[in-house]
Order: sequence, then structure tokens, then C-alpha cells
Amino acid sequence: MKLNRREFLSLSGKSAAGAVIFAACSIPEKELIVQSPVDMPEDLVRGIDTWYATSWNEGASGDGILVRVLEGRVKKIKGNPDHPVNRGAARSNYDSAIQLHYNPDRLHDHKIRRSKKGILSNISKNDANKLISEATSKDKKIVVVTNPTRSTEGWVSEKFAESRGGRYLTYEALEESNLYEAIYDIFETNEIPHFDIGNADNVLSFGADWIENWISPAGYGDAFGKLRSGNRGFIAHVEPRFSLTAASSDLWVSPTPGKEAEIALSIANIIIKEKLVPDSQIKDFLNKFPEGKVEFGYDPNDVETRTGVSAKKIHEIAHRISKGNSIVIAGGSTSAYTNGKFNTYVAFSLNVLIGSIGKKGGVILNPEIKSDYIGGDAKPSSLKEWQEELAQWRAGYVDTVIIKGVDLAYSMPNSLDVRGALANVENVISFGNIMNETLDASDIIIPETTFFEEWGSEIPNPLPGYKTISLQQPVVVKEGPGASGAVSYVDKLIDLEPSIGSSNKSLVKKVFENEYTNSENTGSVIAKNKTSFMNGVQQRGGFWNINEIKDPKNIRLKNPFDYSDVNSFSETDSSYGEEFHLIPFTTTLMDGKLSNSPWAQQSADGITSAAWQTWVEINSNQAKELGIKEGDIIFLKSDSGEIKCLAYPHPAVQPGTLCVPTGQGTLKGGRYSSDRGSNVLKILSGKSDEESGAFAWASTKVSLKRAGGNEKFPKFEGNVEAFPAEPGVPVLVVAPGQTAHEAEEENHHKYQEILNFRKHHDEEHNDEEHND
Amino acid sequence: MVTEDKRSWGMVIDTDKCNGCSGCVTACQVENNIPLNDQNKFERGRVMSWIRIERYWEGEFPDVKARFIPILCQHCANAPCEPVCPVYATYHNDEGLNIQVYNRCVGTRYCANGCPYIVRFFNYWEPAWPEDLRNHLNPDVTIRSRGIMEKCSFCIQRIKRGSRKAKEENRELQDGEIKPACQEACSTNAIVFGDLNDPNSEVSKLSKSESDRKYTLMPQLNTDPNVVYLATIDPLKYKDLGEKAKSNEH
Amino acid sequence: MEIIILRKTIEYIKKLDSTTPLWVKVLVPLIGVGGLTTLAIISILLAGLMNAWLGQPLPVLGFEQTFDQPINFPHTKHAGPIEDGGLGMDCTYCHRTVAKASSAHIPAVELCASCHRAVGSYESEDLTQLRVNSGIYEDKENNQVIVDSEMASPINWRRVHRLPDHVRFVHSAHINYLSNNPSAIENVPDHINIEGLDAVPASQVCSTCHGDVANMEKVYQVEPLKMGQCVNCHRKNGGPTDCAACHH
Repeated sequence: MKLNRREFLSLSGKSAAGAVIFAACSIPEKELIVQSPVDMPEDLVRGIDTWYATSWNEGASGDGILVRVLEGRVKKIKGNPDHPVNRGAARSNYDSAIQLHYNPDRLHDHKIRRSKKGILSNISKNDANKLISEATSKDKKIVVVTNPTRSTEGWVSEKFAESRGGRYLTYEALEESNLYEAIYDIFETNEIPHFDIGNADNVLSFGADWIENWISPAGYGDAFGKLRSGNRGFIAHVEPRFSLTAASSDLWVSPTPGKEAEIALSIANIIIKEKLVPDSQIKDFLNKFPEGKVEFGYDPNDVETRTGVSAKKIHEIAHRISKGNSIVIAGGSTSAYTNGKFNTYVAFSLNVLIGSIGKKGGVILNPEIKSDYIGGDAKPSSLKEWQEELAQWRAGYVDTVIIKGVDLAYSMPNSLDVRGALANVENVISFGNIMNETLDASDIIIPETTFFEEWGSEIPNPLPGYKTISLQQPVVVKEGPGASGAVSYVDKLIDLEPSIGSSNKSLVKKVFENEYTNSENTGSVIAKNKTSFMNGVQQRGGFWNINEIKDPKNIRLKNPFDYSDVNSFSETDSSYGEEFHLIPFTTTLMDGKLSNSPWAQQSADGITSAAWQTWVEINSNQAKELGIKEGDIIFLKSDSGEIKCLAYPHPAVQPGTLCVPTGQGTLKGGRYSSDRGSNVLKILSGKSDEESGAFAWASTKVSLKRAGGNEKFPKFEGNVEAFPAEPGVPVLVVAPGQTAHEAEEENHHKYQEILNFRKHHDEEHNDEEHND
Repeated sequence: MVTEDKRSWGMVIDTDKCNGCSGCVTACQVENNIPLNDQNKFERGRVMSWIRIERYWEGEFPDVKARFIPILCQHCANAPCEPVCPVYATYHNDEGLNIQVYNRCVGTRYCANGCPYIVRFFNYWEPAWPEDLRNHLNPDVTIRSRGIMEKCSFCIQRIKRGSRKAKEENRELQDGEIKPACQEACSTNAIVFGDLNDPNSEVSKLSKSESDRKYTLMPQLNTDPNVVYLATIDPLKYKDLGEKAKSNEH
Repeated sequence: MEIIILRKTIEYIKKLDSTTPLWVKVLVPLIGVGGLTTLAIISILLAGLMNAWLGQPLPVLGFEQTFDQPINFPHTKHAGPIEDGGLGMDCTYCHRTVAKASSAHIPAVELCASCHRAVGSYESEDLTQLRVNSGIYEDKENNQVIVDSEMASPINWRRVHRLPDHVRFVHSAHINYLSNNPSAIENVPDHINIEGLDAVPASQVCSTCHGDVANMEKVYQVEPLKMGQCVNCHRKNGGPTDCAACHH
């Protein structure tokens, strides 16, 4: 008998019983294959891994990352220790981008909708290109929309819009244009300063969830670690919602939403009254405010009754931040009320009072960087601009809209009716990796490359105090697994308007070649010629120069304060009746950008440990009063819509507020994002800051209705509210200078007392029963 | 420097620096080919997560605090999971690691019952990834099939890769050269990994320093863990700042 | 055979008349069908066992551990000793990373083509196939050779030596050890003489696990490559015997 194994398998496979067995336990056919690739660069050899330096492009902070590539596949991402923005720190959702690249629902084909009411169908690349050329010809009125970015991409978008006499707008779901406005009003700069948290002794933050999601979380994470080591710094956080930053702070203050400025002014009041800082600083600060307002209007005891924040806490903060290297930062929900700009301004102005500007551990102003071939703006277009823009679309004044990197239809509130506006634009051309609501409302869909396949350059936001340009370079081949047919956004626009440049790659190279010429042998890469300079940039993941800082002579503070009424407060100030303040927040899914990644979806939220769903956080005592239990189905209704979510009561929610995460509830997505949760962005009322026109996304009021049902709540923690089993178990808390042993001893005594008390209590209880 | 067979790998976790971002959890999932945890697994309490962040509440609003602690296999020198395994699939090796041999495991789950830290996870389902997502699987780590136990390995594949590299380059392994995925992902440097037998390593210094905030989990069980925690510092521990600042006794 | 039993059983049941006791009527068909079930179960188990056994690379029961490859690559011609008409090429010329990485590296089509673009007859079917894979076509009419790298395609070889998924085998560590400790090398082919040497090149240690590949027309597996073999060799040479050395 001379059978080889393969013949044996095929023979035995012929019997029915064999078929079942072999399907169940034989080796998959492909594992018996070992392939000779056509071309094998040494770095793609099996078993040898290579780490490429590039930048993470799902957020605008321009973080430097190292990507592990093995056998030509992206396997893992870590922070680039060389890069000045994040200094090796990683964001919790870096790796999730890998699953967008290899997503089973990734788009491979161009799609087209022949008529507005028709359905999307596949079309060949060549036919699509013809239609795109027609739709973007010189005589068309064109609008280009992207996410806020300062990059080659932004530059090309600007140039393209310019070439057609059109406009270029950006959109961000929970936008922070007030932050830029307030910073401009105080520091007279368009650059967000570098907040030197790592070297600070005391940090006071207002609304900015800098630990989880605010602007540059990886860099701030690294700074947090630095702050907490050695001479340990103190963090106070003012925010109505209990964010991760609030949870990690040493003192959390939860004012009524919209009253953050009162807290800030009350802190100033104490510092001024008790003369905790030099007179010159007090003078500088008071210059900015109408006479007498701060000194007499914000006594902490009055503020306590108005905001619900204990005067003792305000005192504690005032005393702490007036000592050592202190810093005050603001953003997030603080900037997102109808008085958001005012709030943010007042909070940042405390830096003038405590004299932290330009100092180590304080607010370090960034240089304003001009670079050829890098354009766009980190500041998003405001809600007011968008309302005007959408009116133009609705009226049919725009022929073609090109959308990239932002899901407008998902992330704009119902009140803007963006779908209605898109329906009146003749050609909506969208770029995307995976289906989303905007792609679904488009006429032409172009499958887009991911940042693993593409060149790019970006100015990080905020800068680390000096000039930095991050490089993005391809780490895998474009036609690799999962990516066939994908098109580069920049190359496509260049294709349509060749006067912009020759290719994305050449533009990015030009950015760094300019740096080679201008840097005059200073900076992170020093080389003899352009080619080796570019090699150096590719090895390090960008170019930075610690000498290109903001000239101290140019640091000017805008003066004087030009708000007429210091008492301008938010529309959401007073609670009325049955209504709740709705505070939306972002999680690892960001604004839904990562909702197609199972890793991002399954990443349990830090506070609730929930995943895969939309939940609403409600104060546990208030929930008890209302008869709401965990997992109860709740409907939240605002003036612009209604959503369904599951209740999660916990002790750290301010009574009267409800907190809902963004990112879920897309109507059109891949298999991991569809049919789950609801989209809180849709029900935000379309209010804006009167002063700046920014979107007041934290100024929504909702009513709460129980649907009567209860669902199993998808969370990681157990079924009992997690309070320590006994004091200090498992997280041991010590006072400064106290050793673990001392704390354990103390906890032991405390626990004995509790046990005795319980025993005593039980005995009394038993006695009562006996007496009965 | 310590030779290979005298190493004792250990970890120091500073809970004061843990801000609960879950970066370590995701990095571990990615590095170790842990099956995707879909919503069903969350609902059934069958989530597999070799490292997890636990959050504990203290107090009531507005004087409420949340404390975070990352918990992973403690690699106990006196591990309760080891003697109960009938097939010797989990044992201690000479590098101080608590090893799980997947191909030897028969799925009795005795070890998981024996573990007081609840860091062992049983594969109730055959792990499955859509074809495209298989591209990101780490070829250095075995994919565990249904019916066997798995747990944190201190990223043994990285230890092996690192030691091999040092050997090939004919040099000693440097402290800090090998970083498990969780340490690498921790933006605040709350996690430090290294050789506890090397007196000059950072872990030894941190875990032996005298001003210590050092403690271990469940010391009363005498498991002698190789994971050491540093206590959280609360500068306001003895300060009463609120009207309702009564400690909560749950 | 089962069918015969079944048929006979049915015939027998048909013959039974009302005088037959009830228990006979019930039991006879049961034995017939039951026997069939047992047989089915046993054959399923046997098939499973055979499959599990044969799923591992092991020369047993006369099954040859070799395959028809898409291109008949003669190791004899390339690596075979010059005296026997081979080229005497070093193994590491193609398996370049064997001393540097976990995998020995199957060479890229590019590497084959770097010689075979010119070397080798255009009559040979295998070489024609190789040239097609590397994007080289012969246009006989115009007596031209067309090279189009866009048309190149990978070659899917059949794996001969396969270890189970739960084993992490690293070539480099073994090669480096053996080339510095030649006394541990086994299966040394006749044409290689390593006696008394302190160190040998990487290409002379392969035989320990792979046999004399240079003299194989078609590569086949000579060693069982089961765990016992690994552990024996590790014990003999002081290699790690910790499970986690290979299983993680």
C-alpha cells in the first residue's frame, strides 16, 4: 500500500462519516501551505518584527506611535518614546485602529447612487472617476468638509476648495471652538498652549477630561505619571460629571452645570482677599474684570449656595493653587454651555492671577508655526458657521460636497437636519473605510486608505512648547489584505486638480525638505543632505526643534476684559421640575470613529465598566427615589428628539444630571457598530454660545421616561455596587508620608470597630425581636 | 546581573498612578490573541481579560471617590492554583513564572476555583475571528482552543524574544529591556516589570524601598505574590471638606 | 457487510409469525440495528483516531511523508555534492534567516528568478512554471522574452515539516547551538565530515532534524519530530526542559 497522506485524506473523505470528522478535526488546508512570496524584503521575513515610527491619525493631537509589523501585517501599536507630544505614552485606543484597517466590513469598491432616491451600487473605479471629474469640474460650486486637522491633508483640502472658488469647513462632534476663542482672548494666540502638567505642583482643571479624552490624552497621561511621582502634585478638578479625570483627581468639585465660572471667580476672590499671591499679579488680574465685581461678588459662602459646592473645598483649592508651580486649564463641558466661552475665559484667567504663564509647570505658550504644504485649522468651524452653511446646501446653492474623515449625518444634532441639506446637494462625494451614515447619504463613495497605508504630515495640537511636525508613513503595502481598491484622499484631490502638486508622498517630502533647508542643522534630525534627512525623519517619526519656541517678547496678554456682564450664566443654570441636565461625553469609541473596532467596543468604561451599549448614568440615591434600577430601559427626550438607553445608577453623579456616552447608535455601520445603543448626539438641542457661536453641547435639558422593561446590563464588574470589602481592601489609601503598614494597621482597627458596631447592632436587633 | 535560571520576574504597580484608562487591558487583548469579548460575554459575566481594572467607590455624592486597581495573575510563589491541577498543566518555572501549558490542560477548572484573585479564564467557546481580523493575530502566541484555561503569562513570548536577542548579541539582558504589553501601554508608568532577584532592577528598588507604600493583595492567604502594589496617596485623607463628609460604611 | 446483516434481519422479521413470542419480535430488530450502530460508532472513532494520528507528521504504516509540489524542486541539483552532479550550494543561500530568526525562510520567487532568468532550459516544464511565477514569458514567435513583474505570482508549496500550533520552534537558537557544538549533530550525511571540529557552518547542522536533504529528490520527513525527540535532545544537551520554553 503506497498512499500518501493527501490521497488517504481524499479517500477517507469520501465516506459520509469521514466528511463530518475531517471537517471537525483536521488541519485547515491553508496551514499545509508555505508560500514563496514574489518579492521578500528582509524585514518581512516570518518571525522577525519591525517597528515603524509614524503618527496616530484617528485623533488630531499628532501622537507619535511605533507600529509593529510582522509578516507584512500590522500587529501592535505603542507610543513612540522619541516623540515630544506623547513621549512614549499610549492612548488606550491606539490598537483599535488596527481593527479598522483589517475590518471585515471594509469598503473595497467605489459605490454610486444614480438618483437621489435610488440605492447605492458598486461601480468600477474608472467609471466612478469619470463621474467624480464631472461633479468637481471648474464650473461647480464646491464645499470640502473634513475633521479639524493641520496637515498636508488640510492644505490640499484648502487648495482644492480655493481652486474651485469653494469653501473648506471642518466639523467635530463635541467641538471645542470656545477653547480657541477663550485662549485667543487671553493669550492673543491661535495656538493652544502647552500645559506643563508634568512639572506642576498643583493642577486645577475645569471640565477638561484630560486623562481620558481631552485634546492630547497620551501626552497628558505621561504628564500625570510624572506629576504623581517624586514630589507628588495635587490635582483638583471642577466638572459636573464624574469623568476619569475627576476620579483620578485628589479633589473633585461638581458645580451645577454652567456655573464653573462662579467657582473660578470665588477662588480668585479668596486669593485676592487673603493676599495669597503678589500684588502685581492681583493687579494684572483685576485689570481684566469690571471694578469691584470679583472682590465683592463671589464670597465662597454665597457661591456655595448658588453652585452647591462646599466653601471649604473652594478654600482648599485657592490655597493650594497659589503655592508652588500651579496651572489652571479649562475645556470640555466647561466650554460647551451657552456661556461656554465666558466660563473658559474666566478659568484660564486664573493663570494670570497665580502667575503661571511661561513658567515651568505652568502655561507655556506655543510658537505659531508656518509651514508650506501644511494647512487647515485645528479649530473646528462653529455651529453658527454650520447653520449658515447648511442653509446654503438646503437652498441648492452648492453643487458638490466632498466629505472626508467626519460622519456629519451621525454626529450633527437632529435640529440641523443635515440629511435634508445633503439631499439638496447634487453631488455628495464621500471618502470612507467602512459604511457610516454620511456615506449612506452620499451619491458617490470612494473607499479610502487607512493611515497605515498613507503618507502624511501633521502639526500636533497642542504643540509641546516648541516646533514639532509629526510624520505619517505607510507601514504596510496599500494592496495588502483588506485594502484592495482603496484610494488616497490627497492623491484623489491632486488627481482632480493637478496644479496642487504631483502626489501626496511628494508633498509630505516637501514639508520635511523645507525643514531641512530652514532648520540650519538644529533640531531632532541633522543630516548632510535631503535624502538622509528624510531617512532620519522616517526613523524618528517626525521633526522637532526645541529651540523654536514662542519668543517671550511676543507673549502678550490681551487686555482688558471685554465681557460687559460678568454674571452671564448658562441657560441650563437652574434646575426646573422633572427635567435633567444632559451631559454627553466621549469614551474610547470617540465620536463613533472607532465603533467598528471590537477592541474599542469591548474596552470597559473606567467608571461604569460598561461596554457595547449606550447607558445613562444617574445618581444612585435619585435613582432609588425614582424607582430606577440598573439595566432599566430609559427614554430621554429633548427638544430635538428621543433616545433609548439603559440606566446605570452610581454614587458619583450629580443629582439632577444625566451623563450619556457618545459613539453608539449608528444607523449604518459595520457588523460591530450596527444595531446597538443610541446616538446621544442626535438629541442635543442646537443651542450655541451667543458670544462665539460655538455649539453648546452640554446645554441640553431632557426629560426621563421609564419604558418599563429591564435588560441585562453589559458590564464587566459584578452585580454588587463595588465598595471596599473592608477599609483599604483591595486599594490601600495612605496619607502623604504614611506607610502602607501604618495604614493597614489603622484600617484593621477601623474594621474591628465596624464589626463590633454591626455585632452590637445585630444583638440589639435580636433583642428587639425577642421582646416582640 | 542574574543568570537566566535564577531570575524571578515580578511587577510593581503604583495604584497612585493608575487613572483607570484601560489602556493595559486593550494592549493585553491585542498582544495575547485573547478572544473578542462580545456583548453576550459581558452579559453572562464571561469576559476574558488577563488584566482588568477594578474600580471601588468610597463615600457618597458630593464627597465621593473612585479608586482604581489593575489586577492580573499575581504569579504567586506559593500558588493555590498549582497543586490542584491533576495533569500538571500549571506549575512554577525557574524564572518565577506561574506557567499555564495550554496543550496539557484538560479543562477541569480546579485552578480557577483555587485562585483567590479570579484571574484565570476558561474558554467556554472556540475563539473566532472573521477572516480579515485574523491578520492582526500575534504569531508569537498560541491561540487557545475551547475547553482550556488561560491567564496572564507576564507576556512570556516577550521574555523569550528578549532573552533570545540578548543571547544572540552575546550580552546580558538589561533591566527594563523586556516590557510586557500592559507596561508598554501604561501612559502613566504605573506598571514596572523586571527581575526581583536583581538587586539593581527598578522593581527590586521599588518593592524594597523603606519609605514604603508597598503592599500585596490578600496577604492573609500567604500566597507570596510576585506582583507588588504601592498604595494610593490621598493628600486629603484626614481632612473634612464637605458637609456630608462622613466615611461610608458599606 | 452491514447491509447484508440488515437485509437478513428484515428477511428474518418477515418470516416471523404470530406464534413467535413478543420478546423475540422486539429483540431481533434491536440487535440488528444496534449492531449497526455499534459498528458505525467504532468506525467513526477509528477514523477519528487515524486522522488525529496522521494529522501529525509521522512516517507510519507506510504513508510517505512527502507531497507533490507545484514545482518539482530538486534539492539534489542545488544542494547536492558536486561529485554527484549537484551544485553544492549552501543551505543558507536560500534559507537565509535560519541562523537569525525563528523561521528558516522559504526563498522568494525573486531569488529563484535571479538565477533562473538565464540559467536552465526553456524546455523544462518546471522552470517554465517558475518563470511564469516570476513574471517571465517566452514569446517563441518573435523569439523574445517578456519580463513583467506585475504578472508575478507567489508559489504555494506544500509544507513537509509541520509542528502543531502550540509549539514555538525557533530555528536560530538551535542552529547557533549546534554549529558551536558539532558533537551534538546527528544524521550527519556521508559527504560531510565534521569530526573533531569546534564549530561548523550553519548549513551542516540541518541534518539533525531534516536528514540529508541535499540527496533527496523530493523532500520527505525523516525524523518523527514528536515531543519525545525534542525533550531527549534537550536533556542530552542541557537545553531547557521547562514546558514554557516551547509552549506559550
